[in-house]
Amino acid sequence: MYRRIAAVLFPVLLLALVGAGYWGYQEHQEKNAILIKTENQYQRAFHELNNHIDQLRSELGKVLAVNSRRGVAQTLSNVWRLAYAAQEDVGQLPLTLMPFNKTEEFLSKIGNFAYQTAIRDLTKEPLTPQEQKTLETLYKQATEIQRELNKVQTAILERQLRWMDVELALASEDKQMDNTIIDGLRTVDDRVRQYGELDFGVEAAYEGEFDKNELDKRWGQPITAEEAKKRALAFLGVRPDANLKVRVVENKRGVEYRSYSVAIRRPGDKADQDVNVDVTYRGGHVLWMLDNRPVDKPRLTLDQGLDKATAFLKQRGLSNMEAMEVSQYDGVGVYKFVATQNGVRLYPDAVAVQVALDSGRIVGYSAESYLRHHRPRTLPAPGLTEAQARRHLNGHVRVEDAGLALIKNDTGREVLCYEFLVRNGQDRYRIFLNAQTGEEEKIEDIPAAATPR
Amino acid sequence: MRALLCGMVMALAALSMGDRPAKAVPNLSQNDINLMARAVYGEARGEPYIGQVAVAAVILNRLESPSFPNTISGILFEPGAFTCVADGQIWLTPNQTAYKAVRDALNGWDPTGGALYYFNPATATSKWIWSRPQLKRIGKHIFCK
Repeated sequence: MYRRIAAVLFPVLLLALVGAGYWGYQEHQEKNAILIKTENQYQRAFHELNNHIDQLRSELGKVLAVNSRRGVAQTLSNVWRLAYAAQEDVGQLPLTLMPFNKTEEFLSKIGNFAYQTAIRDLTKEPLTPQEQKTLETLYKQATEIQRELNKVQTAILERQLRWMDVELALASEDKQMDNTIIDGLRTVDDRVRQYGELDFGVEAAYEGEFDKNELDKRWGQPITAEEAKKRALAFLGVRPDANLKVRVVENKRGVEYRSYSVAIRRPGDKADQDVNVDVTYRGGHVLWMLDNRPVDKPRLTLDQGLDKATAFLKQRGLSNMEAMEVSQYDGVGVYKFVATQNGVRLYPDAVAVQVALDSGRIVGYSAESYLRHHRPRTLPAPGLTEAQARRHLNGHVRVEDAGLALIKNDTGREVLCYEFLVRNGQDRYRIFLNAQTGEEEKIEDIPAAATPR
Repeated sequence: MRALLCGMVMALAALSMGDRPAKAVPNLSQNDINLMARAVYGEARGEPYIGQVAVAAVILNRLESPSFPNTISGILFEPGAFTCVADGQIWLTPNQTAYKAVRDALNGWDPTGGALYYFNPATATSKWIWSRPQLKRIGKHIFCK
């Protein structure tokens, strides 16, 4: 009896065992195939990074060797493209858990420098001796980076190192594994760190933005946590009340300027429905506010909401604000304002307000940019009339609106511009022309959803 | 290995003022917004609302930082950058709140004050992340530069 059962079961079990073995083998093969695929993607990114850095170095060398303006512009454009490509390669490598950011930053700065220089009219403004020197330094530095990266590349190829192991080693902080890749890349990053700040010329600090010390002075005296709570409640127009649960935390010191975070919970509100207000440590200015209570079906129009937002700003001492952009989502109207001075829009001095369209209450406020920039400015007189500036526009566009505006241009300078709201076919743009020279400083497209006034 | 850091990376990100333009609202496509909402939902769905806005703001701060990729997808899919990408939670369907958080961040609300990283102190094992200058704590996450 027993033998008979065994005789039947044995082949069955044997078959099952073989089947399971075969299945396991297949799974194993599949897993390996996926691992190899992933590894290959990492390998590709790294070898491409090397290739791009090789080319970047050689193009930087060419910039120094060519003579014609056109040659300079051409090679610089290549530098820009290659720096961008190299950045993309870095972004595909599993370097998340190690410092390689200095190198990324370096690539980005080379790219910006090359771009700014390549697009400018080199016949009018040829390379300055300072820029020439910057380029020479960049070439030297790129040569060093290339050499170090090539060492890592050679090691990978000769010793068949795998990026998958790097990923594991970084995640487990395992010191036992072969760390050639990690060490090699650390060397690169350390080296870049030592380069220090290079004079890229165009990186001048933003004009019109106060630095920390100035802000401290302008914003006023330090306030206590208790005072911060009062400021937050006053801002919301809420009377202090024992039923309100208010939590005030001073933020950690890593912040650019010290601030308090105030969280207010009204009776009956759920945990997720706090009103959050951040208040500056100096002067107790409200940086931003968000109220996440649910909003019902809109009863107000966007225009009525705008009136509420404008009135809210006025009550808080922000008059002379002009609404630039309006949008709506989830029953909330979002209004973006900029300050104006004698009819000139001051784009850096921006504030955003959210209005719940069910009741008209203010559910969001954001004024960081305004607080960092706003002051009475001495605006220069425009060198061109509006009609003269208009002649610098492309003939195809239709002008819908025009005015004077102060903006920050690509290099971070505050410039007075003529602002033209134009339409080209279905698309609308805001074009800023330098009010002195008529040169294009900036062009922004206006998304179809936004309805500027 | 994936639970170690909640979506952060490294970066000396010693951003000078010069690197930080007044928050320009980038013109992102609807699908970029969809991706961001997925990331916010995958990373921070249990967090208070401003914690979700904060995660969206970190993604946008990275977009402006020279130390990070130049696209939303590049930032999210950078290997190891976000836990929810590593473990596939980014493919959950995001809720309305996650979308709202993304839109608020796009409109300029940044509860973190310029953070580039965040981590959950209860689960983070990387020593490096603790060396970053901390800005503030929101819910379970510590946000840092």
